Amino acid sequence: MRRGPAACFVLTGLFGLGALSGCAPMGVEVWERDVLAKPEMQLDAGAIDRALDDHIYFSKEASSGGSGFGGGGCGCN
Amino acid sequence: MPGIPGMKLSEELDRLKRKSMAVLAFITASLLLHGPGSEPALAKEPPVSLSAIIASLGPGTPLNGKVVYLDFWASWCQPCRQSFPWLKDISARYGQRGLQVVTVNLDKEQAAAEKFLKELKVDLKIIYDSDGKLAKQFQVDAMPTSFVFARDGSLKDRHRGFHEDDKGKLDSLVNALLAQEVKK
Amino acid sequence: MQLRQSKSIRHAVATVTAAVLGSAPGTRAEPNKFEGSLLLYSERDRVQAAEGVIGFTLPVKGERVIGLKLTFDGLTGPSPNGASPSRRIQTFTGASGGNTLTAPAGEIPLDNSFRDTRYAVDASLVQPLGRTTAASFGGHYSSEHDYAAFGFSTGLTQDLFRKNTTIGLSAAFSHDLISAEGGAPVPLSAMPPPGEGEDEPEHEEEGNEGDDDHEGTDDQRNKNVFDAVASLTQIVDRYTIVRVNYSFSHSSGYLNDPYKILSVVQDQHGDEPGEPVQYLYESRPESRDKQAVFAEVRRYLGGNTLDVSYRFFWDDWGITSRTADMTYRQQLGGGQSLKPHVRWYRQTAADFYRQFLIDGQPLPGHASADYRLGAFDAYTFGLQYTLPVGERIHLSLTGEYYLQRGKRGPPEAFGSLRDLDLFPDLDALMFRLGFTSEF
Repeated sequence: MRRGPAACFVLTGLFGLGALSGCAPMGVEVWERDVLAKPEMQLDAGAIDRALDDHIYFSKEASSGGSGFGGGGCGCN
Repeated sequence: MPGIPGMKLSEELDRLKRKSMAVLAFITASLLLHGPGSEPALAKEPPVSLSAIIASLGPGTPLNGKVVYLDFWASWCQPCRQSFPWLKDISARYGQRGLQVVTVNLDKEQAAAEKFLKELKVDLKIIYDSDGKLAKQFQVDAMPTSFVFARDGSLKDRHRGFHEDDKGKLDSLVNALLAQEVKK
Repeated sequence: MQLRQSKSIRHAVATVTAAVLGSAPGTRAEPNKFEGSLLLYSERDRVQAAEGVIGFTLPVKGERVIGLKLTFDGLTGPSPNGASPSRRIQTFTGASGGNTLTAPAGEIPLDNSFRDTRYAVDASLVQPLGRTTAASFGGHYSSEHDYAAFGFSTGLTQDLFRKNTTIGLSAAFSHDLISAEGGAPVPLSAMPPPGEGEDEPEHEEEGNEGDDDHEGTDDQRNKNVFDAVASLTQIVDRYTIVRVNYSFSHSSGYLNDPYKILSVVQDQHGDEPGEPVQYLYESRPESRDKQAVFAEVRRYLGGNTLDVSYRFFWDDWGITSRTADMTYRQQLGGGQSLKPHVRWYRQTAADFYRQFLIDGQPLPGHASADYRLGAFDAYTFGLQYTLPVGERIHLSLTGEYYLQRGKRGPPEAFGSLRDLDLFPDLDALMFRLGFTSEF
């Protein structure tokens, strides 16, 4: 993590995919994903509950957008 | 605001077309730059040998002249868990003919692995590699990963992941390798 | 009749896709999933709603995963109609020129209490392309008595660097049909005084101005929405995962709320400054571009999990907003957990947002008094309790409190308006019951 996490996101945001190499040094070995595989560490879990919440906020506020998708988890297969 | 609906629609379509092109271009660029699954072909495999495995197993489990199916797994890995009934199956069917299944467990906590093995009543050879030393040596880059070695100890296949469809191919490979005689 | 703000289609499809993508390409060997949730929402003195969702995720041959989600919701209760409060009782024409609404003196006028039901179907397919790539496709259909929407979406995710990094791109398109009850009124035209039942509001009829036929019931408006999201998910270390994304949305077509009005009030020199003279139907632009950037961090802390996220939003209507959200999942014994939740939200008003118009002043190009386009802060406080039932089922119970506060007395208020609450607090209780199961 020579440049730190910020480099990964900021550079990618500014320069697109070419700068993704900033993300390369970060992360874990494939056999070190035990914690990340836990259900509570899945960013995409609880999608239905989140959708219900977002629906309420979307109806009562002017903003939208937010969730992305994919990644994390056990990374198996 | 009064307007000619037809005119508005074509403007809309144009904007939409341009946006779709931009999105498609972005997707294509991303695929080209970091293409899907650029996994190294077997020819470019780093040299992996069974010596470390032999050392870990000790004299009680000789691998000489056997076809070895080496499987790296962990209890939190769903496909790994699903591969075990099949591992038990090939071990039972081909054990007599000279197949040795060796599993390397990568759980940080041995207890988690033992619990799983007890639940599935697994009785295969196991090496505990909780600090990942063996995994690093074998450059494991997917969970699960299995290696198939021929009777002469040469690496014949590195298999990443585990799917239902893989069973047939792996079975045939093991069968074929078992048929080979060891060249002394 | 309240027209609900249209739902974001990309968002609707994305939730099915996200639920499905969350289990692919990584854990594609997942068993079938069946989940559901029931939401009960109750605003103080206003809208009451119930929404139920059930979803299925099924792996099928070829490592594909299919998702299906069915949503039902029912809504009842009034909502501010956009008029400002007055010292006196106010009366308004109902939607079809029929029933009259009455607002008590000094209170923010609400539209009719009504009932509306909606159902929606979302379907999605995730197709892996090799070990590190997946493509997704989705479709959406929803219908309520005065609104229908059709949409489709597509997406791509790519894993990189031994799956430590995942980039995702998705795009969605939807087409909405709005059939406002009584027809869509001409923006900024006057609401006819109540009691003149035969006169209906002036209707906009595309290309048919001057036409005598004002049935209005088959007057249909269109709206098109295009959404795109670019997302980056990164594993930082064994206990931390981070996600950032950028969303863009373009809508065009009929974006007004056909049931919302603004009060035109007497100016400073009138007999009763601040008292209403007439009411005009609102007018919003015919296009809107929205953008947002979002970041989320989730960290595992010795058995418990902390999640913090932040979103910054802006659009070309002049609205900007900031959202900060935090949850902390506290592990309890036996697989149970308790998760407090806090959300803070602040939005600025749209350029054309006006709490009232002043008689005698030139009409602006666009104007709306819909409180949802105004400036306000909102707070959510919630708690979720989850418990496992057997090996395959999890139940959860959630209670939340939502409070919205705007400027009750903006500086521009004068005359009778100065003493009245122009933006009453909105508060609501939300209760959710959910289950997830694998089979």
